[in-house]
Amino acid sequence: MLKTIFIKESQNLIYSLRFQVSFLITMLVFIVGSIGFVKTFDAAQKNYIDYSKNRTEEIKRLASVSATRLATRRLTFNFAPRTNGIMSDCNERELPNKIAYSAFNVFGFEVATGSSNPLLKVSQGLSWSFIVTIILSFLALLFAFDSVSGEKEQLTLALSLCNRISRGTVLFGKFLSIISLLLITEIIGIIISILLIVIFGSVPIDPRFLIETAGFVILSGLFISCFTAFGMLASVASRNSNVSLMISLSIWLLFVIIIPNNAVFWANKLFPIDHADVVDKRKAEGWEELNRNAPPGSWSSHGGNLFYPKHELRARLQMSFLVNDKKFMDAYYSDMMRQFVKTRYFTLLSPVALFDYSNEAFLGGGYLRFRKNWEDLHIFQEQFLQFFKDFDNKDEGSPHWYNPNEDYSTTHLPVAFETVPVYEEQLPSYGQRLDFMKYYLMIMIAYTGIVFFISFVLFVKYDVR
Amino acid sequence: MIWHIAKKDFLLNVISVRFIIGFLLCLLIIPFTIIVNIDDYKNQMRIYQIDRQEAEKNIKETHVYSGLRPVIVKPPEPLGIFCKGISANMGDEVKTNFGQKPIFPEGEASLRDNPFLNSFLSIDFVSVITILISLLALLFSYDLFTREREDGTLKLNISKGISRSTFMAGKILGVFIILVPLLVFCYLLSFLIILLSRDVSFSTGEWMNILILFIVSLFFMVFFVLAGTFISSLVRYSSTSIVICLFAWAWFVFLAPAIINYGVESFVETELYENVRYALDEIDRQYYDIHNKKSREIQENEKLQSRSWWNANGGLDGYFETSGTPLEVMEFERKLKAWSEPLRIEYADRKWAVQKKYLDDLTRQGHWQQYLAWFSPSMIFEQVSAGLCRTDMYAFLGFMDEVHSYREILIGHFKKNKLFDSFRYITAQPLDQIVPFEEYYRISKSGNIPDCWSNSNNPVLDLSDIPVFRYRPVSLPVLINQGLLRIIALLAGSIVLFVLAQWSFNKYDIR
Repeated sequence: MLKTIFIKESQNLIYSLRFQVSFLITMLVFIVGSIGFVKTFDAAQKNYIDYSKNRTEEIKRLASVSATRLATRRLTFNFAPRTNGIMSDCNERELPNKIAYSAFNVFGFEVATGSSNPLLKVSQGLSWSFIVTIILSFLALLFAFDSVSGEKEQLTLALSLCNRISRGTVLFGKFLSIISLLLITEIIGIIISILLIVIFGSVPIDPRFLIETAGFVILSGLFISCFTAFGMLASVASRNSNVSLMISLSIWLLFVIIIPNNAVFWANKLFPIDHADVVDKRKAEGWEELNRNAPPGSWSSHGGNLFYPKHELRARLQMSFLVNDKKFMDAYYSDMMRQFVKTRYFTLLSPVALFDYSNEAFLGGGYLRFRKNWEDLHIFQEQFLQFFKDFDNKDEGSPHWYNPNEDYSTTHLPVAFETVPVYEEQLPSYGQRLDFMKYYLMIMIAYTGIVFFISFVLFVKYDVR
Repeated sequence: MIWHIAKKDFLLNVISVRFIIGFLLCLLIIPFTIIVNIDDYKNQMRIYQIDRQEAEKNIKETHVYSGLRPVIVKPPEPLGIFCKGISANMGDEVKTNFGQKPIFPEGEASLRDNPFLNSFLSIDFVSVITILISLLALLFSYDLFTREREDGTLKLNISKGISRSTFMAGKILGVFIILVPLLVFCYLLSFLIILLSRDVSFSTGEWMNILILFIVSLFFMVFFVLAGTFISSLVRYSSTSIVICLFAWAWFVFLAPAIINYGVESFVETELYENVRYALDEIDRQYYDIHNKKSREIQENEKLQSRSWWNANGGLDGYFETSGTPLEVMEFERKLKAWSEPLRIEYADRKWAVQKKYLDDLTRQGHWQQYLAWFSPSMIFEQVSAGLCRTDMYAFLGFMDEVHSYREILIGHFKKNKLFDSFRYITAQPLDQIVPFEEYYRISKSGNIPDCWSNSNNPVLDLSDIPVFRYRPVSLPVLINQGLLRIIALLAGSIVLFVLAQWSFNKYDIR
């Protein structure tokens, strides 16, 4: 019987205007998004290759001057464009995507200038994720809002239930047919998208890409189920399809627009952290204290003499400044990350956030990618420092007074570029990805189950007359 | 008769679920959005005041002209409470460096302390109006004719001798008299919260901007009401009409802007800023190569054996401050700066050619977005609103033009007063207390270091004749002029929709 209902509902939907229009719109967005992605990715890839060349040249040049110049130079690591960016950009244009480091410290992170054009209002890219969260969620509600109340108005619901068929089966049949049609729409769109990428683009479609695509489809299936369950809830909560529609639209606005767009306000109210100026003030106080207590001549220098005795004082003072800054900044960065994670928990009220976060984790992008690079760079920095110290120790012309900012009191010898450690990004493993997303996934499944169960309970009591 | 029809529709609508839910949505979302944005403005103001105080403090504590690079702090835009535009992408301060022209204000983007929070979008009053009012306009107009036809009242009305034009006018008026008060209510509610908050106050001119914003919101609403009316006059069933209306809404409000923005960013290419930075670094290296060569040349000419400074601070943009340094080294540094600083300014112009190309690419994307926005009424409305609230692209480019002009004036002042050639460019130590090498070694070995050998003990600069930057926001007539074509486009679109609806309804099968 479930099969009969499923087929009947699917046929009704397929022949309906709303499905036909939505299918066309979805395909259009898939096509425009894919062509746009190909262009964007090619340009980003070209830019990144140029950037990598420039970065290598910079390291080579510094190494040819001296190991100290290389060690004290503040280098930057920018995140490369992801090949699976068509699935979701994981907010990487807005999240910190550039980390500054030297051999002595990982200084901090920032959103790279020009990640997106500051003269344009921030908007989401036309990734598959955008299509799922904005279009398919809307369609799920649009297909489901009158699945019960609409049938009641047309008096076909009572007729259906005259047969020996349980209400649960009817509801589940409708639920399944909506999800299936939306998933089929999505899969067709994804196939077209992949074909366009293969034809026009330089994105490698390898087994990893296909595994990630399959994972994306499963996750979006769950997300669509969640919104369909909400649509059915709106439908069984009212006897009138107009009311169901208004409830559905309110749910959509709440989950897609209101909750995600007010997160910053709640972050500042519920999980406040120190303002940057407070941290700067603490740092400056630390500097003043160190400066006050520094022996006379700690700012002295001599251009030609590495062994000028005051250089040791200078190096010691500069190192104290670094330790002072690091103490405050590392604590501040931890606070920032903690605030961000807690704010994310707050937005988990919305299935859109649940989908975005699990998707981001599965694709190895966004915050997971940042955290991995941040932690890996800390490990790399220690190795880089050790490399520098080993090199410096071999130079008898160096007094070995480590100054993190200047080249007054360590080796002036050049270092062979081939021996210099260079940071390379490592992708998070699938284990790490699954570990990161498991709670989001469980919540989304529970959310869908609960909402569908409530719809079922209400439908059991629904007056079909 | 028009009024009778409108009144009937008004009474029916006012007790309808769509009105109650729409009203509740406005009642919940508008105050919350305004409170969030006032809070954001308060935070921006707090940071502005801190940055301004710090900039003033730094400038007052400047000892030497090489450190005199005024920081211009842009006050937050109070009208940004209504429409943030692109203000969230920009910082609030610009340093008037001589060695590089600034492209954009720096500082914390969006003035958020935590850059991770940038990944959460935020919504403003105009976005809420765009989403809610357009939705409500369509929800109230989608069944203007279809519902009457389905209920059998359409042919009843027409058979009583009411002309179709009169009937249509009455129906449209009925929607207006329910939606206009709702829109007025949204604005009044936001005014009330603003007036009660005390954290923000508007000048008379700014209230005028808001009044114009309200009028544009009305035009925007009219457009969607007429779009719903037209769709209703095209189809026979309300169920068909609502589906088309909802797709039209999703298309115009969410999809078209997303497609346009993405298309613009995809097809109008820009350079990665990091690569621009490397190009600028290369020009800097050329400058430093020449600088170092000249430095050696001057050192040889001055017969200077070694360079030693007792207290020396250096920094960005040629900042160099020293005290207790031997006279010979001091003279060398002065000559070097007198030669290098005009060259630094010349190299800034070379760097500007690279920066300008990058900026032109970004601006080109912005212009393309403006052109393509003509396909989406919601984008037109948002752009007009951002213009009126002085948070659009042109407001920021205008501000940066003013900063560039100020930088030129400041450089002119330095050149006119020969400040690059003066000892005060590098030291605040009284000239009569600068000693030659022999005396320097004697004093430094004795341990009796004079106070004036420390930078911080020397007098600060007299800044009374230094040019000051004054920020002049764009006036309302200029803003209206900038957005006039778009406002006319909204009106023209409405007129076209009205004519189409009239034509379509005249042929409508009322059975």
